[in-house]
Amino acid sequence: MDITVIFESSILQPLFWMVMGGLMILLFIGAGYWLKDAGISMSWWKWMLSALWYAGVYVIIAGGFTLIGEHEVRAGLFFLGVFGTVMIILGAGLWRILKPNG
Amino acid sequence: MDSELNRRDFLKKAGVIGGALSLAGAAAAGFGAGRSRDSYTGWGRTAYGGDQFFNRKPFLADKPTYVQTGTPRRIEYIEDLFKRLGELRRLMNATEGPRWTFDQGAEALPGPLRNYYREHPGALEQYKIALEKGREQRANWPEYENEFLLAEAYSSAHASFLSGSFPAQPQGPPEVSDFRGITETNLKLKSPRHGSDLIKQITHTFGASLVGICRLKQEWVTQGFLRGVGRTEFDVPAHWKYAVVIAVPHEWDSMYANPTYGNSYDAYSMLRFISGKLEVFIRKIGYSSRSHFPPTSYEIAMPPVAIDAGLGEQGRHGVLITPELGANTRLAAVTTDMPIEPDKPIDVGIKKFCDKCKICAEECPSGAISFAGRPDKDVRGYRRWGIDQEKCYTTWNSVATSHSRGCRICLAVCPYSRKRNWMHNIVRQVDPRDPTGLFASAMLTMQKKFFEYPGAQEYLPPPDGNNRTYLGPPKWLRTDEWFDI
Repeated sequence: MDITVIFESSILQPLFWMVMGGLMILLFIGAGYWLKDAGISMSWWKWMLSALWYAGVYVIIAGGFTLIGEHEVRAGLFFLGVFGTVMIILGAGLWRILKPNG
Repeated sequence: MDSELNRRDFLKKAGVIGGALSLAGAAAAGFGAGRSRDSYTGWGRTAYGGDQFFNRKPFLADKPTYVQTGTPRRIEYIEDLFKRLGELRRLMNATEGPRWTFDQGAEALPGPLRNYYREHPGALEQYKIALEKGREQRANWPEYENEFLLAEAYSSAHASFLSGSFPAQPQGPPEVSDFRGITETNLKLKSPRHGSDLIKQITHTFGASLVGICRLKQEWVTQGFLRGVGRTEFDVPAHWKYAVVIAVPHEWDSMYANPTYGNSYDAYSMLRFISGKLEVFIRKIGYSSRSHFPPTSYEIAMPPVAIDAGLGEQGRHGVLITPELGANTRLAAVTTDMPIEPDKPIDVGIKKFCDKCKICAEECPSGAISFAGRPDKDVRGYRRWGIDQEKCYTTWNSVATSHSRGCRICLAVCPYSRKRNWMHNIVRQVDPRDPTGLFASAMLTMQKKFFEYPGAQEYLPPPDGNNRTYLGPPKWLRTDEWFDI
């Protein structure tokens, strides 16, 4: 199926974003349990940093695939590669903040 | 306890799956934003389908829903209302031979008409009533003329293509031809702002993607030839006070596949209709007007007029670059004495970006575009980047097309010629607001390092190049998708 059908559809597009909202809620509820079980205590600013990092990953994936969707495949892959690497490094740093002794 | 653990485990797993799926969703949403034709500015998606078309497949039927009740026959032309009435009018106004009148009745009509009215008793009488009503309608029009001035002008504009060549070419000096068909009205605009808002609204309904207004500077008017008069040195007519500037893009997918799959005429034909209709509309609301449209029906230089009208800035390649359409911007204008409020020019940093970018110069197969760091040529009193017109035209004659119908690579490779999706919209909004210029530098670095450009010679046919296009051609323009070749 051509995925653009979803994003050019006046019915499927809003449904897609509703499902995405649901997935986000699941992600954060699940993450709460994972962190608790790992013995990581979360404060508001840790949650904020984590959410920002995840938003960054989200935007970079969306950005790379936007370029690929525009037939700029090389640009999309470079975008994912360069900024994805940056996000992995930032993610490692975030993990050190969340679990200093881990 | 067990159920609580199960719930916890379930939510942990669901969280992981939700996170993974949401990232996959981000990829899908990004891909959709990139691929969607909805994000092309100024080109309807009718040609591309999408959910505007009802899915007929579940409802395909073996038989149509109309009902056959006898032996079918072809339609006599006289059964068409307008052809029938046309025949009657011709007989009623005959210049040679006797004229037909209603008193003579159907029996005096020639064969097909007589037969029709015999079979439709009462139809002739009805037409007589319609004609009387029509006379009343025209007599009553002055009573409603002001109330429906705009609706009438709008209809006349759309109907104007019906009369011969369109738009009607100027005949005689502008003081005559630009006033041809003008409506005499005593209505006064509420304000120049009302006038400009009205003109912009109307022009958008005619199909314009962008509309701007400027006061027409004398130096942008050409000299030596005047449509309707011929070769002549002329003073700029006093009624060429303002220019309504119209911009539309080329169809995007074919534009990216220049030089061989794109064309200039898609935008040219749209501009001809939009500016021609606007010319009629303005005259019908009481003001003079003259349309200027590509490829050659101009008395003004378009890019500087469009800059004055606030549509954009001139790029290194000499083409207007607008924030919405980038270099994929084609222009027409209507000059008028209608009292309208001009727009102001804009500075969104395009010219500064062109100082550094040079991608169009690097990709130009003809080498016609200047590589200079700053605009390097004085042309009729203004500084701009130099364009070698002859070199450019040589490439028009070199690429694999049937005749010299252009190249447009500089439009396709321009970093401003981008879709209207979230990603490029962020760039459009942030770049002009960054006083440091760092954002623009970062974007240009990415543009040059990440994006693939074939290289100037590659656009030419062998042996000099390989008939490359900037992006691949759309499926609907590939001959091999539809024919055995």
